[in-house]
Amino acid sequence: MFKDKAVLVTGGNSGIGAAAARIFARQGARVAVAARRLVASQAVVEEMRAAGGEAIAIAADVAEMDQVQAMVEQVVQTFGRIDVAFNNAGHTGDNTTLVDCTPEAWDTCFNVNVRGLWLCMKYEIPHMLGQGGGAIVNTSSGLAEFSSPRMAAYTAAKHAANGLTISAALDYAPHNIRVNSIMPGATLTPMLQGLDPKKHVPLDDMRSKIPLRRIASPEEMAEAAVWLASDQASYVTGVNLMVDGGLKVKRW
Amino acid sequence: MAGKLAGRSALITGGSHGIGRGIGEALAAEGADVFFCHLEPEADGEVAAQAMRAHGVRATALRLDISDPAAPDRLFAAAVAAHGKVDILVNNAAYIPPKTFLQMTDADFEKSMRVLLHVPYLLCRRFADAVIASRPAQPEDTLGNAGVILNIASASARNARADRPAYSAAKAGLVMLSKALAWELGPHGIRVISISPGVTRTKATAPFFDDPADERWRRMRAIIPLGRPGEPADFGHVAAFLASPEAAYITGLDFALDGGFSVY
Repeated sequence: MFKDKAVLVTGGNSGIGAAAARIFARQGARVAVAARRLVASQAVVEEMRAAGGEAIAIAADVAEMDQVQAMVEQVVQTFGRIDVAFNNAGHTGDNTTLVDCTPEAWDTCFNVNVRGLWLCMKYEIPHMLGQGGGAIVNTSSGLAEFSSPRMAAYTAAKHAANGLTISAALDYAPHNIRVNSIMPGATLTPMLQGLDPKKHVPLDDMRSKIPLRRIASPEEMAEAAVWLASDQASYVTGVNLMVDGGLKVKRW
Repeated sequence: MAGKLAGRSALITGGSHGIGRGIGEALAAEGADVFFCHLEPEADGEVAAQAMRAHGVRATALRLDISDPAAPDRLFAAAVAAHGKVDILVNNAAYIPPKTFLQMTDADFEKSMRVLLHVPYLLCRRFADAVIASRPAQPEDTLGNAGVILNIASASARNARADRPAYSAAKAGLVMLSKALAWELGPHGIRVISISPGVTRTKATAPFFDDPADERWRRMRAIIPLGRPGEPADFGHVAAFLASPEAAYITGLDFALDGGFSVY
C-alpha cells in the first residue's frame, strides 16, 4: 500500500513509532526512523533492512528547530521526497500536579509535544506542497479529551496538539495534504511502563475501566496511524481518532 | 489474497445505493458476505447485490420498508437464515422529511425517530443477543472482534440544521446510543462505532454536485476543506477498516468522515 513512498516516523525507535515504522516498511515504504537515541534507531533500521526494506536512522530532538529542519532535509535528500510523516515523538512530562510541576518540566513537555509537533509540520509541509500533496499523522493522546491524575502538563499539551492537527488539516486540505492524529488510550509502551506505579493507576485497575478489558499493544495504535496515512483514508482529514478500547465513554 | 473480512457476514440497512452500497461493496471486497435491505425497485437491489457478488462472496437483497413495525425482526431473521449469522451490523437506512420544526407533523417526527433511532436500537439488540448467545462462555473477549456495529450518524448530530430538526435530534441520539452500547458490549467483544458523514454524494444530492453552476454546490464546496463531497467508496474504505481486526481497539467513538467539514 506504501510501495516506494517516503515515510518519516519521529519517535520511531520504540513503542508505537517503531511498530508503525515496521508496518510501513512491510508495505513497501522507504522509512526514516528519527529519534534522539541513534543507536536504538539503527537497531530498528537494521531489522527493516534485513527484511529487504530501505530505511535510514536520523538522530533528532524534535524540540530543537535546527535539528527538525535537518531531519526533514535528510529525508528529502535521501528519498527525494516525503509522502508521509508520522509525527509521533512525545514526552509524558514529570507526572506531577500543576502546583508541583517545575518550569523546566513544563517546558520540556510543551517543547516536545506542542512546539516539536509544530516544528515537524512546519518543515514537512513545504516539501509536501512542492510535490503536490502528502499525509500527516500525529500522535496525540486520550488525554487530549480527558485527563488522568498528575498529568497536567501532558494533558494540556495534548489538547494543544489536537488543535494543531485540526488547524493544519484546515489550512492544507486545499493543497491535498491530509492531517489527522491518533489518540492512544492505555498502550503497553515503554512510556506507559515508565510511569511511576506509586503515582499512577495500576494496570489492573486501568484494565477494569476499559470496555474492551485490556491494554492495547503498540501495533494496534500503529495500525490505526498507518491506515490514516494510507489512500484508504483519502477523505479523512482533521480527525483526531480515539483508539482507546472505549475508555473515554466510560466516565462513571 | 484473502480479505481482511473473509468468513464474516454483514447486515446493512439501506444497501442498494449511496453510502450503504459503498459499504456493502467494500466489505464484500474484503471477503465478507453481505445481506442488505432496501426500498428501491427489486431490480435495483439485485444490481447492487451482483456488484457485491463480483468479489466472490454471497450477497442478498431484501426489499422491505424498514419503518414497518415487523420489519427489523423479519430482516434480522432473514439475514441469519440466508448467510448463517451476522458479525457486522451497519445501520444506515435513513428517512429525512425536508421540513422545519414549524412545518412538520407529529407523524413526520415519529417516523424520523422510528427509522433513525428505534430501528437501529432494535437491530443492535437482536445482533448483540445473537452474538453473545453464539459465543462460548467467555465474558471478557480480549480481541474486540466478536462483532462490530457501525451506525451511520451525521454531522447534523453535532451541528444543528434548521431544515431537519428531527433528523438532527435522532442522529445525535444514535451517536450517544452507540457510545453507551460500546461500554456495555465491550466486555462481550462487540465494538460499536458511529460514522458521521458531512456533505455526501447520494441520490438526492448527486444532481447538483454534477452541475458546476449549481449555487447549492458552490456554497457547499466552500465549507468542505477537501473541496469535494464524500463518495460511497470513501465510506466503504472507512467501514472496511473499522470492521477489520486492525481496528480491534477502536470502539465508542464517532468518526467524522467529512473531508474536514467538522473542523471548519
